[in-house]
Amino acid sequence: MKDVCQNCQKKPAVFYYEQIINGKKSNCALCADCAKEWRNSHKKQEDNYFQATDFSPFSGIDALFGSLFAPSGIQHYESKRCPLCNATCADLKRSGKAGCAVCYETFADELAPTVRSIHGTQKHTGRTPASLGDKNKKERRLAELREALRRAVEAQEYEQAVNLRDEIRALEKE
Amino acid sequence: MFWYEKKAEGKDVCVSTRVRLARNLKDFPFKARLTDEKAAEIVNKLFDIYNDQENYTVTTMQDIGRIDAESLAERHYISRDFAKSTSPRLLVRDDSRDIAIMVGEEDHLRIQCIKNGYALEEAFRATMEEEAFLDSRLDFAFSESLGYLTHCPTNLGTALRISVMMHLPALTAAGRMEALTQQLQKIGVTVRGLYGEGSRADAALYQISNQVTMGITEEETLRKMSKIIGQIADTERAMRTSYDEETSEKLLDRAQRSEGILRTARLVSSSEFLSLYNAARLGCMIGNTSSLTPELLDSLLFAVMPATMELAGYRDTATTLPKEMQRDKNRAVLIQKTIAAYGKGGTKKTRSTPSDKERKSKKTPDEA
Repeated sequence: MKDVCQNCQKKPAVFYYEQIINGKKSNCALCADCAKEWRNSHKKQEDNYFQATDFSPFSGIDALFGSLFAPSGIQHYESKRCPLCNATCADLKRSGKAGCAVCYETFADELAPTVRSIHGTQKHTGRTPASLGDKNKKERRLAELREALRRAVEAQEYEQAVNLRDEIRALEKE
Repeated sequence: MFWYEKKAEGKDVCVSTRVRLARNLKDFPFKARLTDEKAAEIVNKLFDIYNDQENYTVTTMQDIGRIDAESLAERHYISRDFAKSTSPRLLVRDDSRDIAIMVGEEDHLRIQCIKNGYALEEAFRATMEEEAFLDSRLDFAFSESLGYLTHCPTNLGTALRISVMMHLPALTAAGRMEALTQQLQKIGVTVRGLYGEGSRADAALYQISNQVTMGITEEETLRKMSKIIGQIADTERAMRTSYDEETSEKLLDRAQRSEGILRTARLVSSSEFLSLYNAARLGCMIGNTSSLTPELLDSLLFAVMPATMELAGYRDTATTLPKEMQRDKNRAVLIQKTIAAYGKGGTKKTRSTPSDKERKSKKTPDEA
């Protein structure tokens, strides 16, 4: 017998996915219409999130997993748990904050849109702990040199500007 | 000497400059998922690092009273949340460099430097220096792509926040703050009205801070903020000097009336103080008629806060006056004593701020 959609309980299921609740895997099945609705509401809620100005950084995750199927009686998606602090995605969403440093790895995919929407990027270019060696040193030095170049040009100190330009080019080639 | 009593630059528009870095320790959960035992472990680590260092005052927060903690928050050494929290916390201060480190705030460590007036470069350098000192002794939570990992994703990256508290009465009176706020928002700079959003115009005090902490280096953030603060300051200054004679006369009249009230009133509420402060501070800048200075007015701004007043000995005495009225009366007395002491060659006879009770604690946090 063909599976029935778990959302509307009427039409045959054509869309299958896996969910993990409290570490237990289970399968969900939706019909074409419900699956479409799922995708649309997902997209809409995510869009709304990007427009929101208040700081509730993880509300986007709710759109992904939280409220979707709750009204129709399908079990709440609870996502995976962080191995260090045991937090779930729902915990992060509730508090708007990460549970520990490892959460940022565990929920990297879920957090990516949040981080991008706050900072407009996902690439740190600043300092690094001394123990890791200064991996961004070159980038920082380049930023410094470019700023110095800009100032030299502004002040019409062209000789210095030429030297700075050469230094930047040399460093870029390294 | 407290940071707001020190000599400062840029006092015509800047009240204070604050630079802070957030850091968390690798292998420890963040605040929301941190047990008190684990929090105490972090506190002990920091206590051990700082206890033997010269110049630092180490305070176990559970050892000091509620009023002391509130007063520290009122004077911007710590945050309100840090003052109120009940979990293990440590405050480390080096007042010679205006450094304060909160251990057990939202992030495990909040390293900040707060300076009087405009002092971005100095505050930045001192904060970075302190971070480097701790970096050589602790393992910070860090990821190559996301930078320093913080409890709240809004701080990821450099975890650096640069804030300057500015007094902008001319821009406020001209109704330009809203447009400026929106304009700055677009380039990742936040403007927040201080002392209640609703009473914005009361003191015309604003906190200007960088919002973005990722994809930008610490030095770039510093340059960007110093440029923006400079531009805001120049606009405010230009507006102040462009007043015609009639407007200047009106503003000076308001300033002198405000000074009169500050010098003679029997009851001064905190909201009235803020509006008197605003008028008098602008008056100092556009005319030479006042004996008040921005330095004096700013130090009053912190001294008249409830807990700080109480610590300085202005307690509610056994009178039948309602509590609020007694406090307003105390405030008026404090203001007048401070102004009188300041008038005598700038040397303060009456200390307007509490003597520090937070002495170096020899007890370990565990014993506390």
